[in-house]
Amino acid sequence: MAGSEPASSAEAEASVTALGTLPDADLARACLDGQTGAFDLLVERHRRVVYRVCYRFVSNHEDASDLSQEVFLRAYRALGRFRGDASLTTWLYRIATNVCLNRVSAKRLPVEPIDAASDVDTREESAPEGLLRAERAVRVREAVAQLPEKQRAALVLRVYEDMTHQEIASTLGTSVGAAKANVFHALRNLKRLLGEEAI
Amino acid sequence: MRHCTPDELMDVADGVCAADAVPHLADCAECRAQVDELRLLTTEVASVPVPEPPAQFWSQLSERVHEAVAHEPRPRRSRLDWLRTLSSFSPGMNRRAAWPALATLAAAVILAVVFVPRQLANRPNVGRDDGANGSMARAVATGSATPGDTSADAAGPGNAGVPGNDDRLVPDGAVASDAQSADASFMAFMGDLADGIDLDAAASAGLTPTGAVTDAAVTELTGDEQVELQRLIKEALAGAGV
Repeated sequence: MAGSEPASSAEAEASVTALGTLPDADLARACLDGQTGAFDLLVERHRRVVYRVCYRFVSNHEDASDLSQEVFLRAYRALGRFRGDASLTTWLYRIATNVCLNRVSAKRLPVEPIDAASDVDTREESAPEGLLRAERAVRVREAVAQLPEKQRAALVLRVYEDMTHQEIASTLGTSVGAAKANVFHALRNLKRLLGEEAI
Repeated sequence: MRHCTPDELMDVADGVCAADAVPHLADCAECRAQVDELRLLTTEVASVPVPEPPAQFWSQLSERVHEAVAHEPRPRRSRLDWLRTLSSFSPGMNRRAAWPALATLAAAVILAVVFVPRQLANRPNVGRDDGANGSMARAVATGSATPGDTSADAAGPGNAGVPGNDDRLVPDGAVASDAQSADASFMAFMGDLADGIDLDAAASAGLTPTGAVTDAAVTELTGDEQVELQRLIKEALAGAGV
């Protein structure tokens, strides 16, 4: 990354500390101005959100990891077009959604098996309960993975990222009605895929 | 009996709309069941967690991104970035503070509107001033206009909303190429903008065109940027009393 390098490690540390107090839009500008470390801070701030969105689309860690990297790379390349009128998170959602939609349409993705996907807090569950919950989670992920792309995208953004239908429409480039219909049909299809015991 | 539409069912299930706002629900067990089902499915799906990746994953991800980005050229500031300065001014702020940036912007546009048609008039078979009294728009909207190449962006989808992008842009009897059409669209934008600006007042306010900015304004703005430029300049000039 081209940029103006601080003269010493102490200066570099002070520079990063100062950058750390900036809001996202200012960090983006600092990055455009060549301040080393500004983009690293943006990545640090948003990596969990980006990874989470990617994981929701692809349901496995390996692909989610690759996609997260790609999302940030694309964001870096497009940083000059980030206008700051929406939050950086919303902008990253949009990039992540597009990257993920391209990926999921390009290949059939594996869904992680139970043991890999069950690394969550289960301290208050009995072992059988935990196993059932993990099995159930895998089935839901598999079902979500089978949804048509737009339905899956709308569902992920609505249910997991708590976006309004207006925000989903903006992110996916559809009408509000289409966004709502996609969530509706996604849920109806999930019911079919999961069977009656889903509810 | 008309059942609830998916829209209505989703709105009630999401809590966007109260159940009693949809009278049909009180009378239809089937639709009520669908609302309950949508809610339960949403809860079921939402309860599926994203597994926490290994602890070292986050720092590894940051490192991977850092390395990937290190091979990239530094991202370029958007051509429209300088416009953000204006849009960041709050209504209550002294607009005099915005004047230097505004002057540059307005100067670019004014120069384009005032001088480009003159240049065109000196080019054979290009440009035409129909002499309409005060109609700068029409004067600049006829023919290829930009000095140098027009950005390909200007011919893109973002240009669809440019005011004045209509039949009048095509010279009589001519079939316009894409580039000509893009040029004409942009000049129509300039013309529409000029119709809203008192050029004498702007000039007396000290708007001095600069070549580089003018070139950028004329040749590089995309359709969306043109629309934004138009909005900002009109808003700022109105606020400055020009």
